[in-house]
Amino acid sequence: MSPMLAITAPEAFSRPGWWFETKWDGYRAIISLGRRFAIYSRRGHNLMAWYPELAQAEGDLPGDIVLDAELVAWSAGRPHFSDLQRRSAGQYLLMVFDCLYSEGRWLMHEPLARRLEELHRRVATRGVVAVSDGIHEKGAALFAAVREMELEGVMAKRLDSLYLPGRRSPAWQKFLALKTEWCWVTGLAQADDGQWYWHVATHADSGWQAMGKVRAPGGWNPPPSAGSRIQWVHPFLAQVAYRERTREGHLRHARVRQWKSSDIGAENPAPGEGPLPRSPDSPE
Amino acid sequence: MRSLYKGIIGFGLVSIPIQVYKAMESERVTTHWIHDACHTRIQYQKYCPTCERAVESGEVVSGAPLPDGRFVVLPPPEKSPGGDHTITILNFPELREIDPVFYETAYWLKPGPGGQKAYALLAQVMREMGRVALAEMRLRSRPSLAVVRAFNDHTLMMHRMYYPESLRQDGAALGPADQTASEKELDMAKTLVDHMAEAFDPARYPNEHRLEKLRQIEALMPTAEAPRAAQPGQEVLDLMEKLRASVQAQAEHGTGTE
Repeated sequence: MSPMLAITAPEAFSRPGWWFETKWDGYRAIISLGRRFAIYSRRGHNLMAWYPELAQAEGDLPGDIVLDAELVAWSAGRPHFSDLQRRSAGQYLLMVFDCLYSEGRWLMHEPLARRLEELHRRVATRGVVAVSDGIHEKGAALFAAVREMELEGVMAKRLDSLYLPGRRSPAWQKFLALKTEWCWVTGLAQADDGQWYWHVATHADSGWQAMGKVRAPGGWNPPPSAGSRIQWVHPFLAQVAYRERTREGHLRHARVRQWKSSDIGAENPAPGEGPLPRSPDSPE
Repeated sequence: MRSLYKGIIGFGLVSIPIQVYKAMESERVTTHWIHDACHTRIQYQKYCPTCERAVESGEVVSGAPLPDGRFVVLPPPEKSPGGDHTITILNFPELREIDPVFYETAYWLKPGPGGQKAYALLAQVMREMGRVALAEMRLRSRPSLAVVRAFNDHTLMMHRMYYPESLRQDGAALGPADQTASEKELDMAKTLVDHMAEAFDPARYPNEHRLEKLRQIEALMPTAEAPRAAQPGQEVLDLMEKLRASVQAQAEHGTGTE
């Protein structure tokens, strides 16, 4: 079953009859616990094959249930998409936000308000499962709070809306706090405190345009020789999430979401592990 | 082995590009403080007892205390202009003229691209003439004295030094100056020392304490436990609580809503 999708709202709004919750930056996951236990990606892949740690969720959930959720990699109090992509997180969490089936009954034809009731009645935050909270009406205020904490955005849902599998419906809208962009990593540098930075740039007809620097993500192995001078590298692709760009085109509040390996800093699988498989899905 | 820095040895008009490597391995077996209950590595927080809260690194400045209890706040150290790690040779004393008390940390020096010839020449000349190079090194922003010497026929080593004024001079007078030994006592002591005189053989002195600790770790290996899954669920609840509080605060200040 494919999950229901949202359209991007032109701007954040507050509205009676709507439910607003944090949009978590991860992979969409449909959790099904019946006779057997499975967690499917947005395109129907088995997420437990990529994240075996999720098997533990079976013990954290009540039986006979189907949930809609976002899988996030959690560290230091917040989700980190790059850890999810690298499968290098210490902790994975299933942020559940909708209940599609419960105790012998499909709930997709019931309004969201009713499904949320069932979700909160049956599921509690426990182990690798967390019930995503939300608020009524005050979407703009939640969006401001989410921006302040540099989270990905807000999901706005009409409380009387039905669950439409695989459909992108205006009854679900997302407010995005961060923009994302693929760019080239052209140089590496290490600050005095040891933190590595990537210099990123876009490539246009007119040549390279610098976009400033961004902290190198965890899970990336720095090259052997250090020094505070920029080391220029064979460019490799990275996707950055950022709040905005300065007038000179530099990124503000930027962080790496994911990247394609290059020769330098390519991942070294732990002994006994093969190279990483392809990521299960590109996120929404 | 990872180089710590790239740098340049300045020797008259010649400059030799080099890479600097730490020479000594830590003698301690690596251990971390972990929480006994869950095997998670503990973190340290900077805490302000006056404001009764944890403070971020951006809120912290460096303050030099005055005798009356006031603090002079120092500006943050200037970032050294990138890559300018220089080792400037001042003169060439003999090694035995420098008391070992001044030595702090040892580094291997490796010639950088294009530096092989000058590097080899410097090593050979110092070795043949029995001299070492006293230098002022500037790694990052902190300057210090250093000795560059030929460790063997081909390789240079650098010893970072304490500044001589750091030596606590009054310690030099701690030995008694008024004791006299008889001829006989002196002879006996000399015979004993002669008897025990031996060349230094590094291979004869393994670090037994370290080996013992490693053996202990190996014996305990079967009992090793991964850090217990922390409670990210609690962190999620905390985060959502913060968001809720922020929405509430905006409602009270009449902002953020339409």
